[in-house]
Amino acid sequence: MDTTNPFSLPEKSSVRKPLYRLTPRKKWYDLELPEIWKRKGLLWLLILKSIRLKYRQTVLGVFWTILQPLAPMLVFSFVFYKYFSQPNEKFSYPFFVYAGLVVWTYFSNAVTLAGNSLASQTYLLGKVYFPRFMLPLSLVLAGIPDFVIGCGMLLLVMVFSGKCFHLTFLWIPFLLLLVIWLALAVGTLFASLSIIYRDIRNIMPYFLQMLLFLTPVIYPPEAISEKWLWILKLNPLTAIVSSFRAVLQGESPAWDEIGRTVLITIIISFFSMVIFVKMEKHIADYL
Amino acid sequence: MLILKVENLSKIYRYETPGFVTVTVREAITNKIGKILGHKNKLGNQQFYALRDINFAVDQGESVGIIGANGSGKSTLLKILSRITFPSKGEVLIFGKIGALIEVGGGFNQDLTGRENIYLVGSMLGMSMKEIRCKFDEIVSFAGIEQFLDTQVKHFSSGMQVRLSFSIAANYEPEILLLDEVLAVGDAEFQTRCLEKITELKHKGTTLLFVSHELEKLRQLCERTIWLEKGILKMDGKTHQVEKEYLKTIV
Repeated sequence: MDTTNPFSLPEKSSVRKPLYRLTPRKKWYDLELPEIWKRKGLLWLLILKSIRLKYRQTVLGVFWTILQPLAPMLVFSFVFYKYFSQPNEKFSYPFFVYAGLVVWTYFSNAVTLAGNSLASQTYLLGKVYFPRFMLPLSLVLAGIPDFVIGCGMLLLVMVFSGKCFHLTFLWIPFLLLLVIWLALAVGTLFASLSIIYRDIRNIMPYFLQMLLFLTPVIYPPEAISEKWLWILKLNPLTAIVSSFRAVLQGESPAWDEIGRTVLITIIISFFSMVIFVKMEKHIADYL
Repeated sequence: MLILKVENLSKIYRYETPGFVTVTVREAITNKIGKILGHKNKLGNQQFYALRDINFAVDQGESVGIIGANGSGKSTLLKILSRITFPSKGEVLIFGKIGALIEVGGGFNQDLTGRENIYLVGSMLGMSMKEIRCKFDEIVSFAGIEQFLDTQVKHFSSGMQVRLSFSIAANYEPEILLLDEVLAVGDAEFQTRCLEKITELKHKGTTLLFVSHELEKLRQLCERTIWLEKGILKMDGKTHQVEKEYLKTIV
């Protein structure tokens, strides 16, 4: 810069705002959402990638979507048909289980994929930067088409088996959103913990297996004794699964239970976010 | 015009290499209890400075080489600049679009096709879909993989992967390009083409940060060189001067 010229402007670079400022600190709530929004093209590609890879080199392709809850439905019906079939119910037991399994299959797949998303992609994380939250986010979102197809199947079966269309079906998207949110929170929590604690990857299958039995997926909530009912109530999935079935029967969701689920989901999301942002800094160092 | 500023930058790793062994739950708990009881923090003593108090600034259009023995912190520096890892102390200010080619072949998903990977890796680097579509043919022809666009990358030869990943990064045309040893791979013909491409980017005003052990290439590309030794900035100056001092320590 020409310092002899009295009219010269102050050096431009000193007033310019940097594009990035890299510091050791990061705000506890900073999931880099603005950056994710700016790079939504990448998010979209990550979603497409995960959907495509799921069906690449498979013979049955998209039929897996239908088969996945169908196979356990047959097994559970085989075992529990006699116990849980109530003649006065509107649903037969297989249908009852299938409705629960559609929600459950999405949740457990999304949590597993998102939970492994960071630890399984180390080859990427050490080589290129992008907002890390994109990985669990994209995997949770990538399950949605399957989820929607599963619900669609359910509705088709209902219409064809002569059950009429209920206006309460309109609540289904809301319930789906709630499961997606919950899966995102839980999956992200697992993902961030698994960066440092590889134990998490082993724990996850057990956790999900136990959660399946602590959620009224294969049994009605009434099958649990009063004494232990509080466990079901603490489980945020309970209200979603029950309301999902209620809505299919033409009843409105149980709002008090849904309210509790939303509250618990907010709490889990908060912890999940704080831990993710804290762990995120260490990703590349713990690969 | 200033484009990159590194201020008092340090990166601290825990000591137990390799892989910086994870803190187990037990370790974390005993450490916490020890702290409460007033014992000295055992983990704290095992710190290792990969970088210590690094300061330098780069102007737009400059080409800066980075040399140093293995373990001197060159790659750590590039990883911090490319936002892969966080600094432990200090601050980095970046005034332009930054693109990094840290490791060739890095970022490819082996199950996706060449075409899909160009989009995926391109957008990870920071290109928009539109930019990729614009540059697509150029990327493909520079890498010379026209016939294999719809083949899964796992069937590519390693040379093809190298060419493709360089081609994507070079066509990203960032304002600051970070290159880590990339030119050490690929055959002689491709290396020459890479050098040409880099020189072309230089003429367009791209700022270049180039890590290499090959002093000859450094001399060719960079007027200025930074010498790191054990995480400390040992020297920063004209390439031929730094090189002279550097060679003295080797011999």
